[in-house]
Amino acid sequence: MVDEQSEVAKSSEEVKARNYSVLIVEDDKFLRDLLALKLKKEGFKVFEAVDGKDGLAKTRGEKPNIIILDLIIPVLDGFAFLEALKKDQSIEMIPVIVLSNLGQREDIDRAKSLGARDYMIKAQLTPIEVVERIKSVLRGAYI
Amino acid sequence: MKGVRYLSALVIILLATTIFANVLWFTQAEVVSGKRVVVFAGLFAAVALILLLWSLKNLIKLVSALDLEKRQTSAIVSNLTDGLVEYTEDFKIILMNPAAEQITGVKAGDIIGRRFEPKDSLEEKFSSFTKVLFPILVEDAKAIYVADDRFKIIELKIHNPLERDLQVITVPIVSETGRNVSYLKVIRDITREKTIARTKSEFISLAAHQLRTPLSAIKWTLRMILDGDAGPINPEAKNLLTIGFRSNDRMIGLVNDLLDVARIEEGRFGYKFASGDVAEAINVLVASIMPFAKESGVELCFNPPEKKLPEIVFDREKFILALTNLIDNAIHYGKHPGARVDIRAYAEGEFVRVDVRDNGIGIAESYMPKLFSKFSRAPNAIREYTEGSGLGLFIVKNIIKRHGGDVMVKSEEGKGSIFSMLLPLDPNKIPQVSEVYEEN
Repeated sequence: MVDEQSEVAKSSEEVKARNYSVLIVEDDKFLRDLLALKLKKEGFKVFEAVDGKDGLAKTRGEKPNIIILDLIIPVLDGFAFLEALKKDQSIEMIPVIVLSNLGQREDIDRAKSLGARDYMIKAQLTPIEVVERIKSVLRGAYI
Repeated sequence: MKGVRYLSALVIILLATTIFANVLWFTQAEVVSGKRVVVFAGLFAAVALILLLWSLKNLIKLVSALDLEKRQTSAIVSNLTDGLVEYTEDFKIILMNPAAEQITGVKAGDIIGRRFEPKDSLEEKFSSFTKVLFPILVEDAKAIYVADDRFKIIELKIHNPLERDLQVITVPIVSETGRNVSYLKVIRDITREKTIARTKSEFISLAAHQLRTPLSAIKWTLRMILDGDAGPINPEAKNLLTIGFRSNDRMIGLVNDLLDVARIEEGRFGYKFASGDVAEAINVLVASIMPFAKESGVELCFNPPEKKLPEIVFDREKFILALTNLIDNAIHYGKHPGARVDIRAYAEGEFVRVDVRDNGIGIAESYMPKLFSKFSRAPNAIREYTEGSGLGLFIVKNIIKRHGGDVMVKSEEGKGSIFSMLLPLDPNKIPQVSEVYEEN
């Protein structure tokens, strides 16, 4: 337990040191708040968006290091968001992790073929695991 | 039918006798003039006449009975809500009822006496009718039941005059000598049933999906509190929250099962077949279940096969889901001192066979027929593990059937069970389309 905590502490130091920012695109306020809370605790700078259009605007404006994307969101859904992201050269390199409750293989395959780096099913993960996956994608993308 | 034959034989005999008697009367009577002969012939003729009248009366009765029967049959045929088409061996149409007209959009008057061939489906007004006659023309026609060449049940879709789901039953009409005289197609419109089934699945799918979001939120909240994200918590609170967390996880599991069932029923469970090593998949899974087995006090054991298993084509993820269900069951229903679950994998005949053996509560003989039905749970299973959904084995059976394999069970109540999954070595045995396997 002590070990684990020091591990977590160490890795959040790493995140803080690099000052990573994350954009959460999620329409469910409760889940968004929870995740934002957890990520802030881990030392991330957190931006939030409530729909796909808002998400794209904040992606262009804030240039986050990583995007956490829900798929069923208003205005512009997650798939359309991924497509739009790929078309914009200024932001296409930003890694996206899908965090959705769509768990069917066709959805997962589709999201990945549109460039999502990882795919997480909300109900099957805990916030800590979500944070770990974010960090591992960040390590792969920036280190 | 025997009666008719008997009667006609009688009539012929009587007619012959009468003629003979009359001839005798007119000829012999004069030539061999003798009182005795005349009386004899007269008597004979009278008896013959009476018998003839009697048989005529019976014949009339029989004919009217036959006529009534014919009227009855034709009333039934024309008022039946299922479509009926009768045709000869070379597809000449003999009969068609109004329901069949309505379903297929052709008029009986236009087709009775006409011979049909598969190429008639190209003509738009006959397209649906020809499809019903030759279901093999329909690409996604599905055989529900085939007894032999003569009796079969097939489901197909037509688009003319309306889009309809049909179930077509082919029945031969056999003569007394066992020859196929003609064939009958019974056409059932199952559009409504299909729609209801689809709506139901879609509802389950939607509801389950909607449930997942709040369930995730509860999971995350409890986890974060347990992890101390909201400050330290005392051991008692931690204990209670852990119980809440686990119940919630069980709920998530149940919702996942419901979603899987709905997808299986909608035929979009999304299989992805690839060549691979079954033993490797088992190894990975057993390692991940091990902590749960230990916590439950069950010894979980997988002895890798002595001879390396041949690679087979299978859906690794779905296979793992099926095996997870079997192992979970073995653990849940096997908790007692000395409980153990053994997994074996070996090649047997044309299959790779995976056995999950436990020494748990077992299954009563009387329950066996319902074992793989949805939502069904054996009484001793409910006592042992109240939270089970009754969906696991339905999912297992459907996954393995989709692989062209089968699931077998050997069990004795109070002693334990062996569940065996058979996966074909030959990839050609994997069916092209998925069908829902359901026990009634």
